[in-house]
Amino acid sequence: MTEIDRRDFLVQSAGALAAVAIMPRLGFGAMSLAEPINVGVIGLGRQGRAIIAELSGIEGTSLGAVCDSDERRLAAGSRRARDAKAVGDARAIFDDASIGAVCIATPTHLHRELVEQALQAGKHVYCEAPMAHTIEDCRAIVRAARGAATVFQPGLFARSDPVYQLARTFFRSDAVRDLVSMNASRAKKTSWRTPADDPARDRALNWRLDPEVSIGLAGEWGTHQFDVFHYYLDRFPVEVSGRGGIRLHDDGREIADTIDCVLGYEDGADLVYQATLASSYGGMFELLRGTNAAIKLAWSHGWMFKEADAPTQGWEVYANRQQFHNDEGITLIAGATKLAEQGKLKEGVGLPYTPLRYGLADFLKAATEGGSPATSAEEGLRATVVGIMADKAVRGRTTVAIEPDMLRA
Amino acid sequence: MIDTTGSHAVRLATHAMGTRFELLLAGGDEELLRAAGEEVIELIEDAHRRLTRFERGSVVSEINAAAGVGAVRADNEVFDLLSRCERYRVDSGGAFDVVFSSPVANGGGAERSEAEGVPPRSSAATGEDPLRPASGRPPPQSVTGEENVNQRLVLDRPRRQVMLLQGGSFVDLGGVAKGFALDLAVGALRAAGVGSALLHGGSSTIVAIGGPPDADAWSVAFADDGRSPVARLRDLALSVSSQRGDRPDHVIDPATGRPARAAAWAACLGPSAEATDAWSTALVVLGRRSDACPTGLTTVLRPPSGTTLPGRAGWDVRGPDANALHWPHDGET
Repeated sequence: MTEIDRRDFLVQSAGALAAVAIMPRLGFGAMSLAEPINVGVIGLGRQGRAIIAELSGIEGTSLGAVCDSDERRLAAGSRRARDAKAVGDARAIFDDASIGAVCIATPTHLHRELVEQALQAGKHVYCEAPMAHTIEDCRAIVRAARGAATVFQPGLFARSDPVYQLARTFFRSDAVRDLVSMNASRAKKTSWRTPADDPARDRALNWRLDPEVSIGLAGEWGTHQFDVFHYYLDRFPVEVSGRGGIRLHDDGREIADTIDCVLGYEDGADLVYQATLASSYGGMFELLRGTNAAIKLAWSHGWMFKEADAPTQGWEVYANRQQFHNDEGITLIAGATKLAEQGKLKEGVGLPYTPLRYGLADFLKAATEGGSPATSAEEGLRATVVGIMADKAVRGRTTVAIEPDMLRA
Repeated sequence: MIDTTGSHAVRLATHAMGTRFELLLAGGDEELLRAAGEEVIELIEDAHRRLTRFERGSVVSEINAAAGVGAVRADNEVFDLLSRCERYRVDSGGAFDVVFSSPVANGGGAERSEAEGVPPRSSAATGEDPLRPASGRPPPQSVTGEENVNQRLVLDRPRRQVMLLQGGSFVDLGGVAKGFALDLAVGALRAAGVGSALLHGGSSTIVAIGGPPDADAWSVAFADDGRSPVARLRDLALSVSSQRGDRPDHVIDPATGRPARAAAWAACLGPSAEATDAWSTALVVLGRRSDACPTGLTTVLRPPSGTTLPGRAGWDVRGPDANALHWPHDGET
């Protein structure tokens, strides 16, 4: 008999990193819509379920229907949304006049058809990123979005994330000065598999490991991070080299579990991108290193590391200084003067909501109040195409060109 | 430690709710077990993000921030959890409660709870009431009806809205969150076809699916002292609460705001980890099995004055799974 002591389980570990936090001005009640809207969610895997949870935090939103062709996933999604209609075919949502917007969180290679149908049905459409698994499908989605009277927004969060918006103002204000290099990384120790008990279901659920439709780590993860650099630089890489391999999950898969890419820009500043399923160290971040300062972004947090010889700009007086090993940072806080007067400077550290909620809120505001979405279909295309090309480079262990025409619809 | 020698077993862990969750999955295809375990890890981390009161943006933080001001909409799972917590409160005569108030403003220094793995300061140590109920121990009352209102918490079911009526009061799900997360985990593992697993949150709440590959049941010792009870778990959850050991005085009596003293040890066995989690906490406060305790729960108590001699003497065990317990030195089951 296997004998276990409860206390033997317990292993403590702790670690804390600190540096310069870039804090936006936020408050409770920020997530509300002027006009109510009924939303349908298509695809109830992890991301679809996360969308359901975040929608409940946006006042004015009601969940009208949830959809998945997999019965178990439909049941799992319905548990969080019992009042919503549960359907196995997205057509039931498109035909439902009470639903004004849909969020599409299906496997990437299924996006195109659903987006086109939803827009044709007059729905506002939020589509998870990457937008598609081929350049052709990306272009078709852009064409559909341009031809629709409704809002289309791809699920790229940087342009909706208050931390990234704030950090971008510093980046553009010359605080960083001349760009030296760029890095981005995402690390999570996970197999990328979904449990499935029969081959058909396994293939359907584990599409990210299917080389025929998957665009790998560079496409599925990298796309989100490449858009950060597009957003900050307004420039795009002209080539990408890549390589990858299996470092942990030697289970017969062909999709690399660890990749390294270098994305080259015309001016010579490179973006080094690394992603792995074999280690969690470092999590997810982007780093822009300049001659005056470096900015590090980690979705809910952001930091700035100033060079010792960088000119003082005045805002440092409100700094919340933190330490990353040998580097001391300065906290950047939107509304720092007011917060400092209230003695609440530290309360602004980190976003109160997930980046997903900010993205969804921007989409729903555009849908209900008019105006442009936070991220356009064209921006979604450019990020996705760079991800697709980076995956191509990784698979071929080669360098591929990213022609300007590829980034146009 | 769990001995997995000779069996196909996958071990996964994550830090959530201020403690460490660990899963041991056995008896199946390793790839399938790992995939199922990873899905469960994400469920647990997601539960943490929704239930913690120490991170802005969680549903609970939003409810607390709006205390005395307004209502907050919760997703179905969180709303239902709060409704069940209200039921636990009523059934336990107020011994279990998730609504507190503090002399220090919520979030500005109120003691961290079990949910974060940091026990509240004891009143003996600080000379002040660490936590006190929002208005003393509230009268138990029914939670039925479309709109549930008691003196402190409104659960508006049609709108799925939650409101704390008193400013400064706050919800802390530390007494139940680990069990809630583990129940979600068990459901996901069963749906994935996992038939042999042992899961725990902070080693105080443990759930077994089936038994290990080489035995009928998982054996789990209450403590590493060679004389505390050992539970044999098969499709059962176990929660243990003690005011001693490495987390002294962490259970607060809602009626007094001071550490509960009615039991040295309290444990519950039952089909739901959430229920065993909640009731083991309540039992430390009550010091006896409540008449309203669900019949499906087995309760294990040792009063503060109970014997420290080896064996079953001094332990009060009642319920349908009493036979799942044995004491190392008397062979009693």
